[in-house]
Amino acid sequence: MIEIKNVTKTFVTPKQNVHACNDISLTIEDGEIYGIIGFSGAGKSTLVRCINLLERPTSGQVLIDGAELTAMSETELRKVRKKIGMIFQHFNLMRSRTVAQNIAYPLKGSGLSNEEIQAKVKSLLKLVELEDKENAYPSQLSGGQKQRVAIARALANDPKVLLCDEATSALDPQTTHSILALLKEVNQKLGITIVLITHEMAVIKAICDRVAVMEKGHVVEEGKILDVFSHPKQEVTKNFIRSTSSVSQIYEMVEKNDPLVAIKENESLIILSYSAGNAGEALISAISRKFNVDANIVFGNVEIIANQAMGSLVVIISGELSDINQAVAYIRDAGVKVEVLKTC
Amino acid sequence: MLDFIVQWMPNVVLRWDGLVQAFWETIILLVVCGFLSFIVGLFLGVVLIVTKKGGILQNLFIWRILDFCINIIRAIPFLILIIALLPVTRTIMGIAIGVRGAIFPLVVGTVPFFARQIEAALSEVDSGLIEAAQSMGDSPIQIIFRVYLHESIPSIIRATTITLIALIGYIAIVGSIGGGGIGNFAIAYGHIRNDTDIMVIVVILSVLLVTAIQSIGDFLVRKTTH
Repeated sequence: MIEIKNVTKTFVTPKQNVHACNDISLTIEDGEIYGIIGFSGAGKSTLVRCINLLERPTSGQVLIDGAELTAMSETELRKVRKKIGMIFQHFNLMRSRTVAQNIAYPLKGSGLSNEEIQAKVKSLLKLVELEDKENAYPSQLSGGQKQRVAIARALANDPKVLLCDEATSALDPQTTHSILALLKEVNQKLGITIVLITHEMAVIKAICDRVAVMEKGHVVEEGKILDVFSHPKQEVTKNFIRSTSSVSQIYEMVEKNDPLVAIKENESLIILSYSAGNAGEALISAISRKFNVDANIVFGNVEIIANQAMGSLVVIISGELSDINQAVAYIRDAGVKVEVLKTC
Repeated sequence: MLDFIVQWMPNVVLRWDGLVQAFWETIILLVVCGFLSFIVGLFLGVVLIVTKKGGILQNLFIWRILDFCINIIRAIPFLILIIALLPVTRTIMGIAIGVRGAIFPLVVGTVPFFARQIEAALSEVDSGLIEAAQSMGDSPIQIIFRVYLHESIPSIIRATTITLIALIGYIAIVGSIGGGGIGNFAIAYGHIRNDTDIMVIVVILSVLLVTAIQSIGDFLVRKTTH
């Protein structure tokens, strides 16, 4: 368990003091994948560096399994760091060393014999599916392969925790997907707790169990991924969620009066947001029958988040205003979020 | 062939033993001073990198003193530095002329030059690598050897090549005021006695020496760059 207690990190510069992290408290349970999302400058990279004390917090405590890292000497801290793997946006592999030598790097001084180290490297190469690249140099690898080597290196000392600092931000979507799948595998097979920093909601959505949303050095929202996605509270969270869904385009289209979302008299344009339990119900046909309105689905999408279906439908309802209002109320009663974009 | 040499380079034949001796002295100075300057310069270059602001062993007091001393020595033209150092050289080496007397001023003149080159080479090491090493639990000493030095081997070789070639120039300057080596030889015979063939052969030898060092350096850089 990682406990971050009232952590504040202030960078003192001649002109001003920058509060990168401001009184942040989080608890990350063993074995979970915890996402921290925020726009650049939100302080998330500083926060993740406060976990292994690459940045020493100005105040506050960091505890891992009850041991207070913030109270340790540099020597003790180095020992603890060997059990906290870390991967980076730009991979940070040693260019003068081969893939195998990079992976073996943290094993020096671990007390393992050369044969044991070689066996360890082999098994890690197998885990990250790069068995044929053992003697290649980083410059000969693609971005995704480099990140795989970095993951293998981070796992060499059998850590309990893996910190990922924008680990997929320099990769294309397909490679991102395969790296995320590997992280998920690492989490499930080896039971490693993963803390993941990103600015992409798609990454959070793909593998995280819980998420914290950061803005200007504060954690503004935190919770289980499904709750945060289905009931976002803060504007910044809503922005992030919109950024991952094609339904978000509807707002732009409404603004630009796109013909697809143009409505005539006695029509309303609404967005239905389904969450977990209610995605299955046949609400659209129900309102048509019950309230004498027509419902025309303009577009929609359903996604799988934390193994549950969630989705949005953009619908034009036509009929008497009172009927429309009743229909909207009915949908709301069914537990589906309704947003009325415009009415004529 | 022999006739040709005797006809066109009579003084070279006449002074052959002296020439070989002078060339040999230059090589000895190059090896001894190159080695000493490499060790001391590498050490000081590392100290510059780790003690500067934001370095892994930040210590601005040490950094400022070192930075200042290096700048002072580099600001003094080498010829003047040798003369200024004469009393110190005599105290330390017991003699201020010949090969022995040349070693001390050569090392003093070369070390700051090399230390700055090492500083430049090491500052090219990606800060992300330092961070990665720290995250893996490396101590500062481990980071110096396993990251800074190991990762910049090609740059260090390049810096060494440049410095050795500059050192050949320094050796000639020391030679001109009694330090031995082919510089001394060229002045004594090529310049003062105006033996053109001596000058020609000294120039040829210098060009060969520099070319050889540069080629070996380039080869090693290629071998170590991945």
